[in-house]
Amino acid sequence: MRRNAPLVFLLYLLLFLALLGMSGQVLAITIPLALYLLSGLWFAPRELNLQLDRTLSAERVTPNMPVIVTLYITNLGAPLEELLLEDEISPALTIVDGAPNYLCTLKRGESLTWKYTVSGPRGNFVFNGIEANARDHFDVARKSVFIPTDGQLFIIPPFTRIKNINIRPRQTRAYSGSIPARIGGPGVEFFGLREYQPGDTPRWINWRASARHEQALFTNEYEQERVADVGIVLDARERVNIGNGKHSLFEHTVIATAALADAFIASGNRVGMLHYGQTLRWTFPGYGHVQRERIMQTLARAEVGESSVFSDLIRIPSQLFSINSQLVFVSPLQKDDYASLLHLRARGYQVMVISPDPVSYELRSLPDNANTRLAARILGTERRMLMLRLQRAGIQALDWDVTLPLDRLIKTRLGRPPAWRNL
Amino acid sequence: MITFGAYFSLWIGTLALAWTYLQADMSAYVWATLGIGTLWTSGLLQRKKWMPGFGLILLTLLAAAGLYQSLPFGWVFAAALSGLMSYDLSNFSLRLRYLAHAENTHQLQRVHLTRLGVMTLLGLTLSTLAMLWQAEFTFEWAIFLMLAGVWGISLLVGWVRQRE
Repeated sequence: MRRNAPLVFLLYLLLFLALLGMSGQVLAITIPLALYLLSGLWFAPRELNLQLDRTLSAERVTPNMPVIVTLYITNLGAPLEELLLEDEISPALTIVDGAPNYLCTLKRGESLTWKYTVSGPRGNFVFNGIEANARDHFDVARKSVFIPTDGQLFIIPPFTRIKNINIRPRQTRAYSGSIPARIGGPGVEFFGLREYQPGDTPRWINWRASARHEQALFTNEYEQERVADVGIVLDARERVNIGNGKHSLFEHTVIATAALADAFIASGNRVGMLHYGQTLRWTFPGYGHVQRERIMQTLARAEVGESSVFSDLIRIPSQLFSINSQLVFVSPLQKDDYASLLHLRARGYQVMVISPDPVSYELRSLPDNANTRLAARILGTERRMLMLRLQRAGIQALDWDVTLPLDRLIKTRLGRPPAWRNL
Repeated sequence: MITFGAYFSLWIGTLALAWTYLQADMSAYVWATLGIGTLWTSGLLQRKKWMPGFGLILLTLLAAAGLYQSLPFGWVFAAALSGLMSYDLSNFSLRLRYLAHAENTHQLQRVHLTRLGVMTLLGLTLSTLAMLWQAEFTFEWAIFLMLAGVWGISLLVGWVRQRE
C-alpha cells in the first residue's frame, strides 16, 4: 500500500461526506489534509542522480571476522530532502556495528561516507547494490532507484596449516618437489645401487659394496623427489554430512579440505578439486597461490546438496584426474562408498581418505541413554570395519574425530617422518 | 522529541474530541475516541507501520461525525489537526530509526517540524477564514465543489503517480 493512500482516501471520503451532508464545516476539515498533500507534492524529489562507490576493508576473511563496508555517495542531481539508502546484504551476514540503512539529506554536489561492519559464516557474499529512496519531508512523493555496486566478500574456511603429508602416487610430474618419485637420482632417501658412471660424485660411492667386487665401483642412488598431481574430492552429499547450518559436519569436511589443499599446494604439487554434491564443480588443477585462492573461493561457496545422480561415489568422473595420480577424499563416508573407492584404487590411483567421524559428532548432540550408547557402539563398530577394509585395500584412511585437531592427527598418522629419523 | 511529539499531539487530539463529546453528554463517542487513542498508542509502541494511517482515518471520521451532531467546530477541528500531526510525526519517528548517529539529526528534525508547523498554521488560517466567510452552502455550490474537488484530486493523484 502506498504511504499516502490513507490520506487520499480520507480526503475523498470527507469531501463526499461534506457534499452529502451539505456541511461546510466538514469541508473545512479537509483543508489541512489537502495542504499536507500539496506540500508533499510541491517538495517532491525532482530527479535521483547518485554516484556510489563501495569498498570493503577485506575481501577475503575467515568466519566471524569483522569487515568494514564503506560507501561513498555523491549527489549529482537536485537536492534531496530525505534520502533513505538501503544496502542489500545477505541475511546470513551479521551487522556488528552501524546499520545497512541510512537516512540523510543531500544537497546538490554533496558527498557523504557511510560505514557499517559485518561478519558472517563461511560463504561468498555478493553486494549487488543499493536501493535509494528519495522523498519529501512529509513522505508524500517518492522516487526510487536501484544503484548497482561492486563488492564481493569471501569468507573462507578457517584451517590450521599442515606440513609433510606422506603421499606416494605411482606417477609424478617432471618438476622437483617433495614426493618420492620411485626413480633413482639425486635425493635424500636411499633408493639403490648402480655401477659407477663417470661424472658421479665420489661422495656417493658405496665403498662397502665396491670392496666386494674387484673391477667395479658402485654408487648409491637416491630417490628423486618431485611434484605430483593431487586431486581432492570434497564430498558434499547431504546424506553423509549430517546436521545443518553452523552445526553441520560439512563445515568440518570443508575445513579439512582447505587444510589439505593448502598443504599440497605449499609442497609445490599440482592440485585440483572436485566438489561432489548436488552438482559437480571442478576446479581445474594448478600450482601456487592463484590455485590456492581458486580453491579457497570454491570452498567458500561450497554447500551440501542431494542429487539422485550423484548419490554415491561411483559417479565420480575419474577422467578428470591424471592417470596414477594421488586422490584425496574428504568424506564422512557411508558403507556403500567402499566399492567406489576400491574401484578407483584398482584403476591405479593412490587413494587417501580423510573421514570426519559422523558417529562421534552426532553422539554429542543426542541424549545420553542406553539406547544411544548401544546405537553408537553398533555404528562405531561398522565404521571401524569400513576403515579396516579400506586400509587392507591399500587405501590410506584416517578416521577423524572432529574434536581433535586435524593437523596433529595427520602429523602422527599420515605425516612423513623427518629425514633424521631414518639415519 | 519527535516520538514525544507524536504521542503528545495524538493525546491532545483524542482528549479534545473526547472532552467535546463529554460536554455533549455522548458517552459512547467518548469511549470510542479514547479507544482509538489507546489503539493508536499501542500501535505506535509496537511500531506497527499501518497504525498511523488507520488511526488518522478513525479519529478524523469520528471528528467529522461530531460536526454532524453540532459539536463546536473549534474543538473538532483541533482534534482532526492533531490527528494529522500525530500521523506525520509517527511516520517520521519510524523513519528516524534509520538515521545514522553521525548524521545531523537535529537539522532534519528542525526542518521537518518547521514545515509541519507552517502547514498547520496555514491550515488553521484557511479553515478559520473559510468559517468566517460562512458562505451559503447551497446545492449548486455542493455540486460545483464536488466536481472541482474530484477533478483536482484526480489531477494530484495522477501527478503523484507520474512522479513516483
